[in-house]
Parts: sequence; C-alpha cells; structure tokens
Amino acid sequence: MKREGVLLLFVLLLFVQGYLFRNVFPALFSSLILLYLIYLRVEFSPAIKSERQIARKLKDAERVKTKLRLKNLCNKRLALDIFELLPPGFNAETPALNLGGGEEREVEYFITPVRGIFKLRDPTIRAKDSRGLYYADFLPDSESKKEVEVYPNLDRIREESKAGETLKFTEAYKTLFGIQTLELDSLREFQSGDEQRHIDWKATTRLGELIVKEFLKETKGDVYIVLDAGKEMRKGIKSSKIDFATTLTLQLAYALRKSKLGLIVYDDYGITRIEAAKTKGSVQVERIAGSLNIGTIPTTLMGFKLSLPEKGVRLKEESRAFIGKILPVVKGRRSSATSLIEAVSSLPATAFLLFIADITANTRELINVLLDLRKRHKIILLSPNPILFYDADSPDRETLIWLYERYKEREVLIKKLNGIVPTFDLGYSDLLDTIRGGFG
Amino acid sequence: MIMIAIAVIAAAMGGLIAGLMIPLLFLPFLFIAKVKNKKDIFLLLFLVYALAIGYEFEIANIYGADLPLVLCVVMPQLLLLDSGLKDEHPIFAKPKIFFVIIISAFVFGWFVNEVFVGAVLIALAFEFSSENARRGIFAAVISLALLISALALAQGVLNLEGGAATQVVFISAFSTLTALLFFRTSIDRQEFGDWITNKSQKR
Repeated sequence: MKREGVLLLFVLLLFVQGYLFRNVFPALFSSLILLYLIYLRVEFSPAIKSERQIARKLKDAERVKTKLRLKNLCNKRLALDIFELLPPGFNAETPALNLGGGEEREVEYFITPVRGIFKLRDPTIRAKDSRGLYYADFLPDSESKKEVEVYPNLDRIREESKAGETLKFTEAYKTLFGIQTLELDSLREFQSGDEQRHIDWKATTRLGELIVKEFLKETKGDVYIVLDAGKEMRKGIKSSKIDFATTLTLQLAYALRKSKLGLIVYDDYGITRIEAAKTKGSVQVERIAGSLNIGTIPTTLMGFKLSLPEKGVRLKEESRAFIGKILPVVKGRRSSATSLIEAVSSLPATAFLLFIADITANTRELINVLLDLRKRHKIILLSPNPILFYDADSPDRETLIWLYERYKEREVLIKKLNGIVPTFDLGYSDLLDTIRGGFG
Repeated sequence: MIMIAIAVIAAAMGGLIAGLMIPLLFLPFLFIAKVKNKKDIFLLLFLVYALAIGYEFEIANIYGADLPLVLCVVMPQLLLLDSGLKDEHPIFAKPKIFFVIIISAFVFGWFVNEVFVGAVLIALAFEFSSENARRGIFAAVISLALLISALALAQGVLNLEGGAATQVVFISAFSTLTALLFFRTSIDRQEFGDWITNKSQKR
C-alpha cells in the first residue's frame, strides 16, 4: 500500500464517520486533508540533471571512486537516492542525499568492478518529495554510456594463487615426488629451485660450493607421462607448446628417476611412442629422452599461425565436435578410436598419470577419459596455456581483447577440469625448477 | 524539531480551547513518532487520532457552527500532519525567536480564539514558505473557494434541522469531485511500511 493511499483511506473513513455519527466536523477535516494532498500533488514536479565521472581504466575487484554531479533544476527541496544499473558482478554503494532547490552538488561513492570491458550507464536517480509521499525516477539516457576497461588485479591474482594453488601444488608434489622423509639419501650440488633450508653448510664450506641434502622419499606405484604431440600442441613458429612440453617431460623424467617411469606419446593419428615403466634410474631417463626424439613433423601436422579469426566465425566446442563427426576420418589414422583413447588403453591397471595435453582441442573427449581414469588412477593434468605462448611482439588492442576473451574461456575450462583432476595451467616459465621452487 | 513542537502545542491548545481531551492523550505519541523519524507510524497514529477527535468534537450544522472554534481545532491538525510528514528543514532550527512569538500568540489565543487561528495560520505560512509554492497553493485555494461557494449556494437546501448527514454527503461529494480533477495525472507514490525493510530513514 502507498502512503498516499493510507491518507485517502483516512479521508474515506472520516467521511463515513461523519455520515454515521451525523457530525460535519470529520467531513471538514477530511476535506482539508484532500486539499493538502491536492497541494502536494500539484507541487511535485522534480527535475534533476546528473553527470558521472569515472576513470576509464579500472582494476578487478578494487573499489573505485566515482563522482556524480547533481543539479536540482526545480525550486523544491528533494531527497535523492542513487541506484546504479551495473553489469552482473559489479557492486556499488547506494548513496542518498538531500538537495535544496536549484542546488548543485558532487557526490562521491565507490564501485567495485569485475574484469572485462563494459559500457556503464549513468545511475538511476530517485527524487522523493520531502514528505515521503511521491517520487520520480530519472533514468539515464542511452548516450550516457561510458566505456570502462577493467583489468585483472595482479595483487588479487597473486593472493588467490597463493591461497589456492599452493595447497593444490603441494598435494600434487607429494603425490608425484613422494613424501619426503627425514632420512638422508645423498648430497648434491645446489640447483635453482632447491630449498635454502636443505643446504648442508658444513659440506658447502668444505667444498667451496653450495651443497644440498637430498632426503629419501616414499613413493608408491609406477608413474606414466602421457604426452599430447598433436596438431594443437605444435601450433606456433617461434615457440610451440610441444617444445615446452618436451622439456618439461624430460625434467619430470629426471626428477622422477627413482620411480618406475613410463611414457606414452600420441598425436592426431594415434600412439607414436610408448615406453613401459619397467625400470628406474638414469637408464630409464635416457630411454625416455630417446623416445622424445619425436622426429620430423608430418606435413599434415605442421603448425602454422592463423590470423585472428573474425568474430562469429570461430567455432564453438559443440560445433567442432559436430564437424568432427560428419567429416571423414583424418587421413592416415589407423583406427576409428581417437588417439587419446588409444593412448590410455595402453596404460596399466593402476599408476600415477601425468597428462601433458592441450585442453582446448578435444575437450569433451579429454573430460570423458579423465572421468573414467580417475576411478583407478591418480592423475595430474598439465596444460600449456596457448595465451601464454602467444608470440606477437606488440599485440594491438583488438588482439589483447581477443586474447583476454580466450583467457577467460580457458579459466572456466580449467575450473571445470579442476573439479575432475588437479589441473595446472602452465606458461613459458613454469618448468620444473620453477614449479618445485614455488611449492617445494 | 521546532515545527513539530509548535504543531503539537497548537493542536493541544486548540483541543483545550474546544474542550477536547483526546489530543492530550495522543499528541505525546505523535511527537515521539516524529522524533524517531517513523513516518508510517506517525501516519497510523494520526489516523486513529483524527477519528478520535471526530468522535469527540461534534458539529451538528455547519451553518450554525462557531467558525473560530472549528478553525481552532482543524487548522492545528493540518500543521501537525505536515510537520509530521515533512523532513525537518534546518531553517527552523535557527529562528528560536519565532518559536517564542508564536507560542506567546497561542497563549494569548486562549482568550481570543481569532488570535489563536491567526497564529496557526502564520505558523502554516512559515511552514510552507520555504517551498516557493505557486501552482499548489493556487490549486488548493481554488478548491477551497469552490467548496465554500458551493456550501454558500446550497445553504437553502442544506441548512435544515438534523441535516448533518446531508451536509456530510454534500461536502464529501464536492471535495471528492474537486480532488479528482487533480488526481488524474499519474505520479509514482512511495510505499507505506518501507521502514520495516529500510531501517534508516535518516540521511
């Protein structure tokens, strides 16, 4: 019910009371209230002018001050409430103020944005009369839109990654490299990424170079590295993801030399290399290094860099899956089963699995495989992030926006995959030493 | 809070001049509701208060009524309603001298009703003076003039012994029809009871 409605009901009751009690006074009183309402209604004609000022470049989740210049164009005192019409995820304060007739004032309040490029409209201003009976909303016109670019907040990302990733990394590290015991295994030279607290200072003084203690680790089961060497991994001329993945595989093989380690390499045609986890030690590492000599790249797989696709031309995952079904089987394939399924069918019943794969090429298939495998295996998925491998020297604004959109899509996918198995998005600098250094 | 204080004192004195006790019972609660800035509670209390006055103060025939006495009761109610609903204007916080003068006039009005009515009218004029009202005042004055003219014209028909009900129907019908002329325009109206969800009405 409205406040004015209460007063009108009140008028009606007084009329009824006057009639029933044969008393003219309530009728006179209610007439006076009606006159009062007529006065208020006729006098209420607010007019407001507003203009917002906000910085063009903002940071994600960082409160930003916005200034709103307001002018009361009528000669009545108005109570104003300011409501922001912001994109989803944004937060804003809802300031309120009183503005005298003809008064002009600047209001400052805070908005908390989320990442992306948005067009912000001016806020809606609700002007209320001083008796709290009537109001009028002043909606922003369509020309009032101001474009803002909200960039990721590096501090926040750092904090989040500290909180979430460290835990995940530590868990993955222990799974992969075993839980470190207090029993000393050997001494060796310091390598970047080693912890400072493991330096043996006596041996360091004696030998004149940094020496670290290596402790025995408890590991269980075989470890298999499943490496994707498909077309998507080979894209890029100066630096392809496969180069990075190969280096990472070698580093992992060396780090895991004390476990029985196997390797499966597959591409778009099927399994290309398979090295069973039979033995431990450096001999096995050498074998794996030999297997990683992937050889000449088939011409059909030769990576090339496409210019940025036009908006709307880029196929979605569903569309790609559909085209994959209707197109003839890729020339050269040995069977109708996909390479990934072939690769995982070669795995033993139980093992630690380390997938190094592109997650965007055959996402649905990868998810299905991971869902099936996680019942029997412990799995970690390492995925080189193509955005971090983008090798343009000075990307223009359009390219940056495109890359950012892809990055956001990928974030969603990573989140989804993380719900299935621990997934790590890797860039150039995330080789083993860095990873170990980060969470060791 | 000066204006509500003046309105409460005026309503109490107006009531006492007419020999009413009901205002003394309700006015403290109305004052507290205003001080606590609870407009909706104030409205509800005012509704009950007005019905109670209507029950206690009786006019059997408008043409035979003591006009100054009627105005002594009615006019402070308008001042009370407006000062209860209106957000206090800082201008009234300063002229304390105005408060002293107007209260003195009220006291004097105890003996001369016309002085009391005049003092209330001055207080009303002071209350509305800050609004630079033009059209609203004009509309209200025209409506009032029409009602008075209609009552004067229909005196021959309405001024009868025991004709109070007919007079009430006439006043009601005429006031309602006049109001309808101004209620045609659509205005967004504020909700009653938003204090339940919106605790802070202070700004």
